[in-house]
Amino acid sequence: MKGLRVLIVDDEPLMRLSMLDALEGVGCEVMAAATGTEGVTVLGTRQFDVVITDLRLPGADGLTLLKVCKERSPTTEVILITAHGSVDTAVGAIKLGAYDYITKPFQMDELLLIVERVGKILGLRRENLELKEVLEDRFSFGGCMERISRCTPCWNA
Amino acid sequence: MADINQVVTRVLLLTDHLFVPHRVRLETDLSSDMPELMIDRHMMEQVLMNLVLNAIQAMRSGGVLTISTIVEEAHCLVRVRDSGCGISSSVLPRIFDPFFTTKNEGEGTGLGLSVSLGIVERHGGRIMVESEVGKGTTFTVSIPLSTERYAIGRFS
Repeated sequence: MKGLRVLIVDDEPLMRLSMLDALEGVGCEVMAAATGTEGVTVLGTRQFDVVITDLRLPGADGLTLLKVCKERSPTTEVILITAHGSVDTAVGAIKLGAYDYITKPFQMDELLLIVERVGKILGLRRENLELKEVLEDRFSFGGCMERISRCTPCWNA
Repeated sequence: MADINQVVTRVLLLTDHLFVPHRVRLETDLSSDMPELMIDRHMMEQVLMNLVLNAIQAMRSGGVLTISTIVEEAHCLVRVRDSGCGISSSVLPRIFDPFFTTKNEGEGTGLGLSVSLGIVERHGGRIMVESEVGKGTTFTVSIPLSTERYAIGRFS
């Protein structure tokens, strides 16, 4: 989880602080926002790997943040914090693209476990992208050579 | 919940452009009566993608990639077979070690198989490998159909 770029969005200062502490403690690079609107603004300033957001926020709510995030950066994974009893919304949010949800009250360890899973899948995705690029590069060099040899020399035209 | 055939099809869609240039012939044998599995679709997609990309990389002068799905003894099996260079018996025990890689620099971090194994094991499954140097390698991802095993976590 070292270097994982995380954005926390929660209107409770204590919550923000606890999550910041826990995530920085395992090596994440963390930024925090207090409202949905602030969250959207911060999202526009840099790339994040993970966004952890409360569903209920002043200004733009968690679902709006989820939608904006997915539009701007489809590979950024969003984890929603939901209140006990709002499972329907949470499942609906998964369908909208959230990676997972966690219900309040929760243990920090639980959250860290989810973030760790996200870290792993992001790592695997990055590896696959890298592999794909390697395989594509090999092709484009070969393809290039083919095109050159098939070109009609201009003095024959 | 996901249909493993759909996951396989999506992975093939994403890697489709690599087959012809690498002179890889694709053969698929997807069983028609695959039950829906309690798997994290996104994670499984990355796992199968990793296996397919590794397979293509192993076939430097072209070959055949065979992907099959089948239900056997209450397990869903996904087999990814290549006709590439194979893995020697001295290297085979180490391929799931984190950061172990036989590839050149910049060609992979060495995390693919170890993370993939972790993901599959969290689904209560296994990854099995059979390989013969010069002939090829078969990776088999086996996931139990039983839903009791999935209390591990909502999406893994």
